[in-house]
Amino acid sequence: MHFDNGGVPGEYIRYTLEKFLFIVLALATLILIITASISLGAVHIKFTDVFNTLLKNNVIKQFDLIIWNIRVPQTLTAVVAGAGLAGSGTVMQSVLRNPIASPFTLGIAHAAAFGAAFSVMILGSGVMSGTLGDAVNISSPMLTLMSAFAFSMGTACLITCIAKIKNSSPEVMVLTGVALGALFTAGTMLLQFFADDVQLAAMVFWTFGDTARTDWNDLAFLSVITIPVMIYFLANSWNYNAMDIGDETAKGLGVRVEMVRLSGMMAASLVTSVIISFAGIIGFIGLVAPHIVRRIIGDDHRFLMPASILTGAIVLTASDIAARLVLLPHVLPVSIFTSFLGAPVFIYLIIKGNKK
Amino acid sequence: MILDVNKLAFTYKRHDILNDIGFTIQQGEITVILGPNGVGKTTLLKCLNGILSPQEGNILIKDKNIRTMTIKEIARQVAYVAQKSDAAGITVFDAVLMGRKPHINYRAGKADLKKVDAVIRHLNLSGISLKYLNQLSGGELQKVCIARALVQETDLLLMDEPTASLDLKNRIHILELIRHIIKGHHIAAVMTMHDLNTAMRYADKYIFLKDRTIYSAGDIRDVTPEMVEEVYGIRVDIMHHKGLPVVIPVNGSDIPGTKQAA
Repeated sequence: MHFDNGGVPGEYIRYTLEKFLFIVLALATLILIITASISLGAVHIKFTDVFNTLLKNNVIKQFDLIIWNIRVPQTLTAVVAGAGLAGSGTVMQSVLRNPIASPFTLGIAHAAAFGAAFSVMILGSGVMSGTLGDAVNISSPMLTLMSAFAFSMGTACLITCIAKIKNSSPEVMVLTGVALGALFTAGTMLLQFFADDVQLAAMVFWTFGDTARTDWNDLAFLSVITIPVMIYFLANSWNYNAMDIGDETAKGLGVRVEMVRLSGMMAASLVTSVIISFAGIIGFIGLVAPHIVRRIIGDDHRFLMPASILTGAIVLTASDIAARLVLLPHVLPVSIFTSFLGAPVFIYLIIKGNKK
Repeated sequence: MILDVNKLAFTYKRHDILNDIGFTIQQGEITVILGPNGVGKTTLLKCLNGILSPQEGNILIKDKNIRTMTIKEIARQVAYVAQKSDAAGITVFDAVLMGRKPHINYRAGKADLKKVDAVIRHLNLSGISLKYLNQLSGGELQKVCIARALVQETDLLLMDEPTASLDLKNRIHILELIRHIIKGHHIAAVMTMHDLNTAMRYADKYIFLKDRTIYSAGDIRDVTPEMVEEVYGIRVDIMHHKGLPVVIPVNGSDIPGTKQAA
C-alpha cells in the first residue's frame, strides 16, 4: 500500500542471472564428471563406448558388464553421497549458526564409526574372508550398517532432545555434539584396544569411506532418503536466509525458527547417517563444498543450496576418479582423497577470502 | 484501534518480568516504551508479536487475539525490527526482499521486487543495494532492517531501539521517514528507546515501565521531570528550545555513589 512506485532494477536481475549461471555451469560440470567417471578406471572406456553402452546400442559385452555393474553404481553413489553430504553441511551451518558445522562437528560420524566397531567386535560381524582383493572383509555388512546407522541416528536424536530442553539453542547443539563425538571416539578406541588383529582391521577398514561398497539396492535406498530431504532443504531456503539474519528477525517474518532448526538438524543427520552407514566415513565434503560456493556466490540459500549440492556431487565424484587412477592398479578409498583435495583448496579459499 | 493489550504478564524461569500491563495503540500514533535498562522493554515488545508468549493476558491485533493466529499471520500484521541483527553474505536487496516473506507463498513476484526497489530508494540505499550485509556499517545494516520492516507492509511496526546505532543525520532521517509513513498511511509504531530527547521529539505517546509494570502512560507532551526522576532515579529539567522539548539532567551529584566523580 505505501510502496508501489518502484521498478524492477535491471542490476538486480543481472546479478541474479549470474548466480543462476553458476548453477547451470555446475550442472554441466557434473554431467561431464559423471561421464568421465564412467569412462575412466583400470579399464579405460572411450566416451563413445560409454554413450553406446548407456543407450544400449552396439553394446560390447565386457564394457556392458563393467559399466552397469561397477562404474555406474559407484559413480551414482558418489554423486548422491556428495550431494547429500554437501546439502546437509550447508543446512547444519545455517541452523547451527556455525560455519564449521558438519556431521563431524555433531559427533554423528564418530557415532557411526563406533556403531560399526561395536558391530564388528560385540556382534561379531567382522571376520577374515581371505579373498585375494581385500585381506579383510566385513562378513555381514548389513548388521554393521544397521549398527552404524542406529548409533549415528541415536546421537542425532539425543542432541535434538537435549537442545529441545534448552530452547533449541544452536550453542547447546554444537557443544553437545562435540562432547558426544569425544565420547564415541573414546568408545571406539576402547573397542580397538581389546580387538584382535582381524577385528581391528575390519573396524579400520569400515571407516575408510568408499563409494565402491554399494550395489544397486543400496544406491536406491540412499537415493530414496537423500533426494526428498534435498528437496525439503531447497524448499526451506527462505527460512534459512531469515535465520541467518537472526532468530528474532526470522520469527518476526513468520518463520517457526525452533521447528525449522530441529527438523533441519534431524533431516541433515538422517541423510549423513545413511550415507556414512553405506559408504563409510567421507570427511570434509560437507564443509568444503558449501564454503567453496559461499566464497563465490554468497550465502543466499536460494542459490547456495542448489549450488552446494551440485558442488558436493562434483567434488566427491572427481575425488573418486582421482582415487581410482592415482595408484593404478590399486584403488584408494575416496575418503583419503576428499581431504587431500579438500584441505588445500579450503585453506587457499580462506586465505584468498574473495567475498566480492 | 490497532493494538489492545490487556492484563499481560510474563514470567521467565519463575521470575516475574512483566505484570499487569495494559494499553492500547491507535492508528497514526508513534508510541515509545521508556524505562531503565533491564526493566523489560524488549520483553514487552517481543510479547506483542508472539516472539515470546506471555503467561497471562491477551493481546488483540485489530480485534484478533494473537493466541489464535499463526506466526505467519502475525507477520502479515506486525513487523519487527530487532535490536541486533547478524550480517551474512546476502545482498541488501535480497535482505529487504525477505520482508515480503510473510506474503510470498513460493517465490517473489514482480510486485514484490518493485516494492523492495521503492523502499530501497526511499531510504537512500540504492547505492549499496547489491552489497553484502557483512560489508555494511552498523548504521547501514540498521537501515536495511528498517527497510525490511517497511516492505512487510504491516499496520503495526515494532522497533527495538531502532536508532541506537545510527549517526545524527541518519537518526533524524529515519525517524522523520517513519513518522511520515505512520502519519501518511494511518499505521502505528511502537518503539523502545533510551534517548528521551529523541523520544519526546518524535513520539506521540509514551509508556514508562517501572518495577515490572506500567508506571505511567499517556501523551508525550505530558511527561514531567518528576516522572523521569521517579523512573530513572535522576533529576532532570525539561526545557523547550525553539519549541522542541529538551531533557537535561541536573545535579548528577544526587546519584548515590557518584558524589566524588561529579
